[in-house]
Amino acid sequence: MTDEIKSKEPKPVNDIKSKVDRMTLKFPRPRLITIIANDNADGTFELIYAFHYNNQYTEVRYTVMADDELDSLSPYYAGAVNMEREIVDMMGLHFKGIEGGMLLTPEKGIVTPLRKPLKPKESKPSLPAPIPVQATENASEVKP
Amino acid sequence: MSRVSVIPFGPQHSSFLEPMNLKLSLEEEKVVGATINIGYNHRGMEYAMAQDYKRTVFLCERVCGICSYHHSSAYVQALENAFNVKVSDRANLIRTIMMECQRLTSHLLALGHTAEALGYENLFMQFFREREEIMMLVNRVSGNRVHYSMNTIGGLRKDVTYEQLKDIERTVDVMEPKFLELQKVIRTDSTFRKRTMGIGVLKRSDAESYCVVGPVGRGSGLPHDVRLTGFAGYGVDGMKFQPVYYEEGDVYARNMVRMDEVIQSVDLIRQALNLIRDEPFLNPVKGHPTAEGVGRVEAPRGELYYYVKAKGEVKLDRIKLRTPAFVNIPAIAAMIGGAQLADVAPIAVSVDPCICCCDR
Repeated sequence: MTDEIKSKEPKPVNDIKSKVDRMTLKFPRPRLITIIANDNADGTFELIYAFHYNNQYTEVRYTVMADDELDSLSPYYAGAVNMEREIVDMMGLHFKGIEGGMLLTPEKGIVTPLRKPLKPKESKPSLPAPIPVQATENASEVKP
Repeated sequence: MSRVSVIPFGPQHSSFLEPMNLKLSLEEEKVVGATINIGYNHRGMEYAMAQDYKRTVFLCERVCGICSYHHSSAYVQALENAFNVKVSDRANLIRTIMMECQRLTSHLLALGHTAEALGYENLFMQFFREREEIMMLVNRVSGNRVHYSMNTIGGLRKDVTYEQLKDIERTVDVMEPKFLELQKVIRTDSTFRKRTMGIGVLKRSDAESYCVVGPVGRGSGLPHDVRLTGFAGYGVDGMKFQPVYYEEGDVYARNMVRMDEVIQSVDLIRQALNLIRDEPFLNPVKGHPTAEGVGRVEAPRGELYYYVKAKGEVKLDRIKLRTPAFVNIPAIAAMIGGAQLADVAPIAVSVDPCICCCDR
C-alpha cells in the first residue's frame, strides 16, 4: 500500500477543529474519511480521525475519557454528523450537539454494544501464599 | 404563505430496493426539506466480524451482495498490512480483474435501477440483460455469482486458469459493443436527458462538505478515486488509469460517470489480462497479527475503508468499516431541496443507495 499512517502517537486533548484549520492552511481542505472510536477498556477511548489529505492517507489520534464532551466536526463537514451519531450509538461517547438513535434505539434495545468490560486494575504482586502441607497418613497404601 | 406538509417516503417504497425512510417537507409538489432515517437493516456486523479474523474473510462479503468482492479485498488488504505480507502481482491483477467485473455488474444494476425509477422499463431490461452476461462470467471463473469467496490473506484461495482468463477476454470483447450501444442510448435519448439533466444538483462545495465518494463525488467535479493510489493491481507497472468525472453534479452526470466507468472497466480488465504472468498466487501467513492495518479500495459506490486492530489472537481488538453508501446517502438531503416530488425517486436512486452497506 502506498499510503502511510501518520501521527501514530495519541494526543491528550481533542483539538480537532483547530487541527483541521491548520491542515487547511497549506493544502485544500482534507476529506474526512471516517472517525473511529476504540475502547481501551480502562475508561479511556482512542479517537482516530482518518483523512485523505494532500493525496495521502493521514490520521489524527486523541485519547479521551468516556464522559468527556467532545467537539463535533459537523460545522466543518456535514458528513461528520452520521459518523459521530454512530459513535454515540455504539460507544456511548458524547459530542456537542449530536444525538444518537441512528442505528439503535437506546430506550428500547441494546445500549453501547461495542464497549468492552473494564479491565481489573493491576494490584501490587504480593508474596506467594504458603503451600499447605498435608500429612499422608496412609502413604504406604498408595499404589501407582 | 403556503402550507407545509410532511410525508413519509419509504421505508417500504417501490423505488427502493432496501428499507430507507425520507421524511419530506412539501409545499404543494415542491420539496423544501428532508430528513433521512436509516438503521432498518442494522445487523451488528462490526461486532460479529471481530470474533474471528480468518472467518471474517467470508463474513465481510455478506455485508453487501453487490460489492461483496470489494469488501473482502479491502479487509484482506487491511490484514495484509497488519501482517506486513507482500502479495504477488498475479494475485493483485486477478483481484483487479474481479473487482472490475463486479464494478460492471454494480454499475449496470445502478443504471438499470435509475431507468426503472424514471419509468423506462425497456432500458431497465436492456441493462439487466447485459449485466446477466457478466454475472455468468464471474460464475464461471469463481464458481459463484454474488459472493466470489476468492480472497484470502496473502493472495487468492485458488488460481485462475488460462482458459478462464481467455473466457474473460472473450466475454469483454463481446460485451464492449453492447455497452457502447447503451452508452449511446443514455447520451442521446431525449426522455432520459430531460428527466435527469439539471435535476438533483449536488454542488461541489456540498459534495466536499458531505465527504461524498465515488460516482456521486465525481459527478460533482471531485476527481477523487482510490484507484489512483495504486492498491491491488492498479499499482502494477503498465496499468494506466485516469478517473472519469463530470462537473454538473446532477442525476445525468452521476449516471454518465457510471456509464463511462463501465467502458473504462473493460479497458482495465484488458490491461490487467495483458500483464498477468506465471507467479505464485498465494503468500501464506503464519501466526496471528499484532498490529493495526488499513484497507482502502474503490468499490463501485466509492471509497470503501476497513480498519483492523489486532491483538495477537484469533479475536480482533477492533474492526471498523466505512462504506461509501454511509457518506453518500446523507447527501440526498442536499440534492432534493427544491425538487419536485416526482423527481425524488430518480434523485435518491442516482446515489445508488445501498442500505445493507450503510447500516451494516
